[in-house]
Amino acid sequence: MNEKKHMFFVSPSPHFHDPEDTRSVMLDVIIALLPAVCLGIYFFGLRALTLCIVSVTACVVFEYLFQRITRQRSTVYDLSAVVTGILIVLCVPAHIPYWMIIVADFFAIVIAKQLFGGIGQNFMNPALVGRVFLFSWASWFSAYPATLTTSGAGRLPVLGDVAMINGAPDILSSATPLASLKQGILPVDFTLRDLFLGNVAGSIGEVSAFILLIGGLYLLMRGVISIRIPLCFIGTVALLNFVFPAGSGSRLSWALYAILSGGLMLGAIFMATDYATSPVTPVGQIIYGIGCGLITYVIRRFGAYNEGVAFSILIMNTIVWSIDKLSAPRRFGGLRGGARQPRPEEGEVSK
Amino acid sequence: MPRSYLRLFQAIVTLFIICAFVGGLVGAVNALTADRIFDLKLQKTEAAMRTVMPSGEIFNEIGDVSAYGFDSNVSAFYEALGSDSSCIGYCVEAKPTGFASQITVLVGLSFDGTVQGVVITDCSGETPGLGNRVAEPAFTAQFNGKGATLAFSGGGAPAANEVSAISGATYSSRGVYEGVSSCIRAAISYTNANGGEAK
Amino acid sequence: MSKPRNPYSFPAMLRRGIITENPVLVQTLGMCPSLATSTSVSNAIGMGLSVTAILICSNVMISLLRKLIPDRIRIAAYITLIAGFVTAIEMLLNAYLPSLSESLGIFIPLIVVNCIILARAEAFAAKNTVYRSFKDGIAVGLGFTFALVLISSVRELLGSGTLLGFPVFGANYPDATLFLMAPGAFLVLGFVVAGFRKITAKKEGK
Repeated sequence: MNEKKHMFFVSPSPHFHDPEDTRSVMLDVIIALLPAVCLGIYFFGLRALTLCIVSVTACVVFEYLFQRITRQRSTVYDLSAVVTGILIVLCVPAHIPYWMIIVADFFAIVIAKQLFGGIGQNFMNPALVGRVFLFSWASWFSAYPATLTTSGAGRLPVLGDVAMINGAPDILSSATPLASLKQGILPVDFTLRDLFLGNVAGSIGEVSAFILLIGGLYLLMRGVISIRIPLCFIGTVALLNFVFPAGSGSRLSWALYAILSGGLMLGAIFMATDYATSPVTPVGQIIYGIGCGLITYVIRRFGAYNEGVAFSILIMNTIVWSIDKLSAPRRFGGLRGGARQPRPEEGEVSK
Repeated sequence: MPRSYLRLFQAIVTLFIICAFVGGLVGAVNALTADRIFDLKLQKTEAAMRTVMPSGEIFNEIGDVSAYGFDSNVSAFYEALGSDSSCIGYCVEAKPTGFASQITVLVGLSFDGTVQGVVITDCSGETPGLGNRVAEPAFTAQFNGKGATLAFSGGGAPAANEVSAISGATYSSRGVYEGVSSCIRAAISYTNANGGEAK
Repeated sequence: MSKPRNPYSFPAMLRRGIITENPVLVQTLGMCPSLATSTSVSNAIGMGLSVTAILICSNVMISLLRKLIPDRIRIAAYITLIAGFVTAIEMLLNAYLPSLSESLGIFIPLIVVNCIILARAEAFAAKNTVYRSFKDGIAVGLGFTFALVLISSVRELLGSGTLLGFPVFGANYPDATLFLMAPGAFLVLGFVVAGFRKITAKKEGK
């Protein structure tokens, strides 16, 4: 028998393999986030870069160590820890001390992700959990540094940390647009164009809606995320601000300012769309996006905090399981909700 | 006698004995400690009042304040008497709403409503590290010397008659401001009602 | 041939109360005061000893009356007795330890509904002699105190940087205030219970 002639490989399905795996998805996310990171460095200086490097390193190290200690196979090569590290850095202001970002990384990777079973098993977005844990030191977040493009802004120290004076960080800060919106006034210091391009005070990655949208577009084109969640999330916030503006000014302005301020773009595109913590079904995703938008609006409008995105995503994370259950597709021939049809009793005619 | 009645009787008697015992115990301990508790409370209030009104020796509580039309968050009004037993000022306590709870504010005032000192006697319901920083002298000292023109600055550098909030604790700071304002108004209306006591 | 161990001896009861049947860490009773009063070690000790005192008094009293209290009204009887003792202790604390009373606040009167006390009354004092009930009160009360001290050491250390008021990390320690609040309480409780079970399971295994 000439083996070369009859080369039939017999194997079970699947017979076509998509080259996509966790690592390639994470690589796409990293590529999508890179412009935002670069712009963050442009606006806030070298410290943004060093924070990013520290954060990513810490995340990878914590994941590796945890899996080593618990004698599991190391999954650092799927790059999910790197993504978590970048995301955490993007949602903190550039002046926070290095130890704080390391603490956030520890909490995010070890407690929010690995203790629950590692990637795919976590029920809450790890980056957001890490970020929210930092509210323990709330006084560090009472001021946000102004961008380097603002006149008189000093460079943040790269080695060493910013000092706390009288319980507030010693930085040149400016009021964030969200602080203004909270008072019921449209921001006067920033135009919509500033908010769109990123010339405002805020966390490292949240300031430029433009660059985040570009990243989002890339992810959409690569098929990594679907447009449902970001669209419903951002759309709900815009709609609520349009219908119920919190102060005087045109409704359209309110809607636009609301969606361009704060961490909404970052959260809606990169955090709410995390596979493990968002619903699987299309209807579920729509419900999830609307829910996030609703809670964000309520916290921003009536709550004590200026920003509600992180909390709203985490709150919705906790009910994703029931959203999935409620929106499960009907089995062919089955009842709504994916349940089985009841078995017909003896003598009964089945429906 | 049927057994059920006997059981009922037994239940009643037992409960009676227990209640009598508990009543006796609580009564006895109360008799033992009531005076001491009262003294301790008085000492505590007086100590607080001395910090805002250092030259006060005796503090007389004015019981019936309905005639003066104080704000609803004013909870107590004391006249501060000096060493010569004449009134040297007032101590007013208010309980405004902060961020998550009521904050108890004690203000020492002179007759025209000028603040001599402010001390926060209870802000335990506020956020630790943020809201309960209103108790720090750095914040409360701002009120000293301010009077009826006291205003609240939401942000930025405060004017001469303004107090600024602790950043990140706006609601708690505003609550304290409301309380101090109420105390100032109370002092002024008391003085006016008593014919403008001069000193 | 070894003497059979008396399960009601004081050392055996202590071991049960503190380690193998710890009310907070093993039986998960009395969670509410454990979470609320464990913000500092001194509060924890104060609370724990108050509960121990009341536990001893109520156990002894209920054991004394156990043959007299009819079954149908036993819960009412127990609660009345416990409430009486708690009120007495509250007044004593207000008079002689006012600072502790202020820090523990409303959780002193809440000892009345602490399930540990009612549980021991039902499960032990109602069926055992006075002397055994007395020992049980001490053992379970100390177990509760031990658990509270464990939790509060972590919370105070991380949340204020102090232990019993002594600054351990120096004056510049940035307090992780989350640990002094509710979320931190649950987190620490979870980890402490997990750690405790791991250690005791190992010991039992050997």
